[in-house]
Amino acid sequence: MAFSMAGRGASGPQINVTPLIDVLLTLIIMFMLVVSMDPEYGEKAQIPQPNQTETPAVPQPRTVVIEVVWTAKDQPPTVKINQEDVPWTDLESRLTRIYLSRVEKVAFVRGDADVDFQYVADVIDLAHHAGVQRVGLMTQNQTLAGE
Amino acid sequence: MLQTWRKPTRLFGDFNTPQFASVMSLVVFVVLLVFLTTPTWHHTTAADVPKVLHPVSMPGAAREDAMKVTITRDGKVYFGVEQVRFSDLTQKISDRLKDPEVEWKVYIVADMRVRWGSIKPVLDGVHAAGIRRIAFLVDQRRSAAFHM
Repeated sequence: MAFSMAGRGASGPQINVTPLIDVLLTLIIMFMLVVSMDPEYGEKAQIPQPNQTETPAVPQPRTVVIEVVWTAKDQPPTVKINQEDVPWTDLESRLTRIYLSRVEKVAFVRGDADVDFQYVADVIDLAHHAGVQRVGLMTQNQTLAGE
Repeated sequence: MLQTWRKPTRLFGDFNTPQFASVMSLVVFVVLLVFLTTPTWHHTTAADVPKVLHPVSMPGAAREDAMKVTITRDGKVYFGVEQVRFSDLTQKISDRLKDPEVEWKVYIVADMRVRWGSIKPVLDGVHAAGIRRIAFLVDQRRSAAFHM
């Protein structure tokens, strides 16, 4: 009477890798989705066209110019609304009050050359959040009527 | 009659899952490494964009033909991935505007520490090309801490 052993003997413990592969595939798909759906964020602005015809400036007292003024190295700049100093913490609330009753929600931003871009971006961001729909960037040292 | 006994040929149809799992682990590791080391995917060149509290979504910036001007911290200007001089920027934008499909908007990717005085000539160059609408690409700031 003879017995035969199936296989080559007792097999050792083996890891079931099939669930591991499932997890890895899911991870890859999630990474690909996250990367493809990563949205771009931004702040809209406009570069105003200069007046081509030399017409006399009509006083427009409702023009709002936000200035970012350089103070000293490694110091945050100050901010002004129509040449009036405004603390950074009050900037948004002040702009909100100004534009609450206005139909034309336009503001101009002017920055000193030495100011870091981060501060100008903050001003544009706060202006948008305060209700300004169009932000014009003043790149030259021009003054607007009504300033 | 003597018959030669021949062992039947075995077909190997097994799927070698441990090796497949090894390859998959490596792929996940590489993707994770790239994902973690790249700060944001919209940066065509090295620019640490400003972080603001209330940015808006800019789906147009993700378009392949979006006109992006990058200003790095040291003041270098790139149009797409090509470094350009201030004087050449207007012409480069004008050339791109010949394509009727391209959006009349320039996305500016400027480093947060770059001086505003370095951005002004870029804006002038964009303006000279006939473009009024621009957008600064930014990141979302989580904390509300502000300049005092």
